[in-house]
Amino acid sequence: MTHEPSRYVAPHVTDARVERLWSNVSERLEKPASRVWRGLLLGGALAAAAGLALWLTRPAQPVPVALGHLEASKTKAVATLRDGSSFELAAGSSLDVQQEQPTSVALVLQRGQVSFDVTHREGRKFSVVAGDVEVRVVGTAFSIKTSAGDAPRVEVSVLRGAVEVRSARRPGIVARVAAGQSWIQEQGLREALSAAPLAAPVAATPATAPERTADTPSTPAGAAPAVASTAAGVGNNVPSARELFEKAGESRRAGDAGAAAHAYEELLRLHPTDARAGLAAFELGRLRMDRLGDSAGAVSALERAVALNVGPSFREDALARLVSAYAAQGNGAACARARDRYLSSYPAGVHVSSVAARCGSR
Amino acid sequence: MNALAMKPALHAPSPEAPAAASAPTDAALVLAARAGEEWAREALFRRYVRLALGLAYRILPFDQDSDDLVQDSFLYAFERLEHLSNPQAFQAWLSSIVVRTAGKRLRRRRLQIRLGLRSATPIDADEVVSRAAPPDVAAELRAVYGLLEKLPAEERVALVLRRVERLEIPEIAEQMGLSISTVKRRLNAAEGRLERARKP
Repeated sequence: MTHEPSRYVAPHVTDARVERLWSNVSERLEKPASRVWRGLLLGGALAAAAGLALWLTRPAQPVPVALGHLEASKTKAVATLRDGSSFELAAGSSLDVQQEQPTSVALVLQRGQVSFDVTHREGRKFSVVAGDVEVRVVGTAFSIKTSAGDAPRVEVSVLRGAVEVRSARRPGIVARVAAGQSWIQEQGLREALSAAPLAAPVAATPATAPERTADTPSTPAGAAPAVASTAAGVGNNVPSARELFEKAGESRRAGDAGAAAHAYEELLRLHPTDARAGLAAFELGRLRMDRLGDSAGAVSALERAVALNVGPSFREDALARLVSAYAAQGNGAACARARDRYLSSYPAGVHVSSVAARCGSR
Repeated sequence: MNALAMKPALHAPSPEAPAAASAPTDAALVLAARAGEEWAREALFRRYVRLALGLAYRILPFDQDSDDLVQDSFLYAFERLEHLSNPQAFQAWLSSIVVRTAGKRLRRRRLQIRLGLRSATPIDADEVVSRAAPPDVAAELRAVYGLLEKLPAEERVALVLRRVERLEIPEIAEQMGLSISTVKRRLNAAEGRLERARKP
């Protein structure tokens, strides 16, 4: 019997190591500047608004917003409020600015998806309504996504800080959603999916409410309409995290970035505490950023990857990518915060030179 | 680099090699990658990254070094796909890139050590060689890895390709981009050092 010596000198190669290597290789192969300009050329710079005109400028120049109705028809809109808070309205979305005062900001998401980076202001009420769901904010970054149709759905994902969510379907009940968590309300799901919320709703006393620790939505439990739990494996037909991860990988290799992103999204929704969730969030962020031109979605996913304690090398890459993603959004304040977070975490990191050059002067 | 008739150092079966008849061939992936298809580059990467890591690790048995080497090798390959005359020979071509890039890194590292810009990191042969290795194989591998850090770059690479990868001299010459006679001289020198190191 012959022995191949090379068999006995072999590195330990994990999936995570392969993903990190590919992430580095693909990043070094990219030419970000050309993609930005291509996006600008394709995206155009103007969209109409029914109520007021909103100039959709390149991401580096968010537009101050006024009361009225905002609509991002074919490309995203980035806007700032007077207190420095900003939001990005995804293409095909619309939002009403009902109030914008030093003590109160009230917005209504009519359709689509919006991501916020809210500046902390003591004593100010900042609320966003989507359907019969209200999100109240102190100072945080979060996104709300709505879906219409036969199964209307509202999803609140928190990137930093925490928000309180109230639903008209559960009067008097407040769900506190912390960084890295998502809260989802939807109808039309199978009973198996609506059967096992992971945690009880938090009582409507935010000052004393304990913060939940699970990376899952706090779902108001009770009678119909069904409120989705994102618990892993609660239904017999729910794909496993492994299946979804592999499906995402296959889709990526087949060149279908959209399908890959969807599989990662499903993994994060159905299995938020699985060991693959952090890596899935990182890969989702990378896809949204590099392939799908969705910088707001990339921010959401990358922040989630960081919150989920993705492995050390991925965490460094995720923090570096967040700087680029915020810069692509034109969100200078968030970009600077992300840059400083990276530089303080990795003063000798591999992305120091590129990160330090971002977001203007320090 | 011509890889037309070369047996690659990456000779183990690839865990991600196309198993099904419907999987794209290397040639198809190379052509798609040349056309700018990122998915094709990724498919090539995933197909061969583990084999490239194995080869890199056997020449530079430190995880960070082998990671850097593999990244640089894939980058070099993807940026020069136009120079690959036979698209189906991607595996062999990549293998030779890993070998030659390793040689450059080793030469640079030795220079840095001589200039006092970095310190030599000894190889822990017991750590590198699997405990599952049969005693005779383990003994030979430990002897090789105990010596590697003392060898000049070309002798080191040639010795690994010969003693660990089990390549023939013409194959080593092809991988390293050297003449057969040069490879023989390098191997003779390395084997002599190995012999002397084994003597009590």
